[in-house]
Amino acid sequence: MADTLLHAERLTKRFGGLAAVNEVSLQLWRDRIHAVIGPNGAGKSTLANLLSGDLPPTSGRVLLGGQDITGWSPEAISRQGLGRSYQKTNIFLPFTVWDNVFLAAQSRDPQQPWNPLRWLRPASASRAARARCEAALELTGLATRRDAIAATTSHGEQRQLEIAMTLATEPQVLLLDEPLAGMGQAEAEQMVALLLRLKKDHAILLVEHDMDAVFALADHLTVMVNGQVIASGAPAEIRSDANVQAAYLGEEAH
Amino acid sequence: MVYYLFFDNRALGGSDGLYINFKPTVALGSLVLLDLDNNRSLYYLTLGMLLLVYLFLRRLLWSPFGRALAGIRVNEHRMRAIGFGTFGHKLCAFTLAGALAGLAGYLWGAQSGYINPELMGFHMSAHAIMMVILGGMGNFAGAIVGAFTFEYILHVLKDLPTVGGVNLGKHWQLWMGSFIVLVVLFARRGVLGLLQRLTAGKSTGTDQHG
Repeated sequence: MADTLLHAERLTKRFGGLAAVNEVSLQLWRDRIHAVIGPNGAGKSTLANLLSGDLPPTSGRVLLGGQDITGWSPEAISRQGLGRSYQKTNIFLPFTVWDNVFLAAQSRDPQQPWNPLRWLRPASASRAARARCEAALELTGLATRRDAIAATTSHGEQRQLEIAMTLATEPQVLLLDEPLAGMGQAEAEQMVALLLRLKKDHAILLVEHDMDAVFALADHLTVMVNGQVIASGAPAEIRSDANVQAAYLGEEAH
Repeated sequence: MVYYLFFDNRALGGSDGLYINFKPTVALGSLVLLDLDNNRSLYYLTLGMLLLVYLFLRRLLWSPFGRALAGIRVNEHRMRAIGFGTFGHKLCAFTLAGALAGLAGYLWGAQSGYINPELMGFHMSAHAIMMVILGGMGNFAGAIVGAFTFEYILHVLKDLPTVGGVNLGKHWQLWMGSFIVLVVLFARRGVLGLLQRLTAGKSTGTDQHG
């Protein structure tokens, strides 16, 4: 398809003899949410780390917007247009909500080390960065909490902040690692609504445990067990897939 | 390591050090603009440099580069994930620190007219660290206050009298060490933190009365 934003081909990551991720291929399109599910230890987070550059793959390759980014550093992949949020909240706890998001927004300003103003003018003077920061806070509903210290905000707000920082880098592909982790019912519903809004302008890869949310959101599902893809398809197909029920969905019922 | 490099280096005077035999001056033809042999000029130059470096670092702290460094200190992993090349930022920071230390070294040489490898040894580095701890860490003003405090205490301790056949001043390091330990134990934010706490205590006191 013409609009494939991210294409992973036979990605493999071995730790010693263990293949944490084994020959996983997937494609992401704009305006589609692709969810990866699977039991603990299935290799979902390792897969996310391979795509974001936190880990180099043992073999296979990743194309982002047609560009081969296999083995690139996380910062280079981020600049190429992939934004990632983390399962374990990974923010700047002593900073305010605004400063957290602003740092992310600031990273997209042109780097001009030769320009003395970059060294002497306050960071907050950048209008473009301020605009990106405000837009991300508005989208995630954190605009009224901008002056709160991140460490003092609620768990749900920290999860929103996690997404806001990712959005402030204006990515085309969003890689969200369990955005609903540890959220209450109301917070989870808000997050689901936010993800549906983000879907319009982004290709989204969602790694998630919450089955209700996954089936409510996903256009396409990939099921991983022991590092391998055992099924991939539309939610309805996955639900009725015998393999999946045996390996994963059935397990949950116990 | 750098210490040993210079220790065995003939050209730089080896372990004996090196005398600086020319006058550090700035002259335009025969018109002398700045003569660092003159203690007063050296003093004002050093004071000026202190001010300039302080102002420069304050600006830098809030610049995009300074903000990025603050982010790296808190969470380098996330900084990379949002697109910052952290290696380059850290390299820049160390280079800048080295350049400023070089400036300090120049002023030291101009003052004493003599340099030796001891200056690169542990003592000098330890002094600098003690100054920062004394003044208050994580704060430019703290480092400045610390430097003055350290030098002042050093003079007081070295001039301690001889009591009962024991020259107290000769063992100044012992007293200095104890003093630093006390500061670390009871005033973790250094002399500056202590001053702030005292003034804050006073102002809340008057608030209650008013």
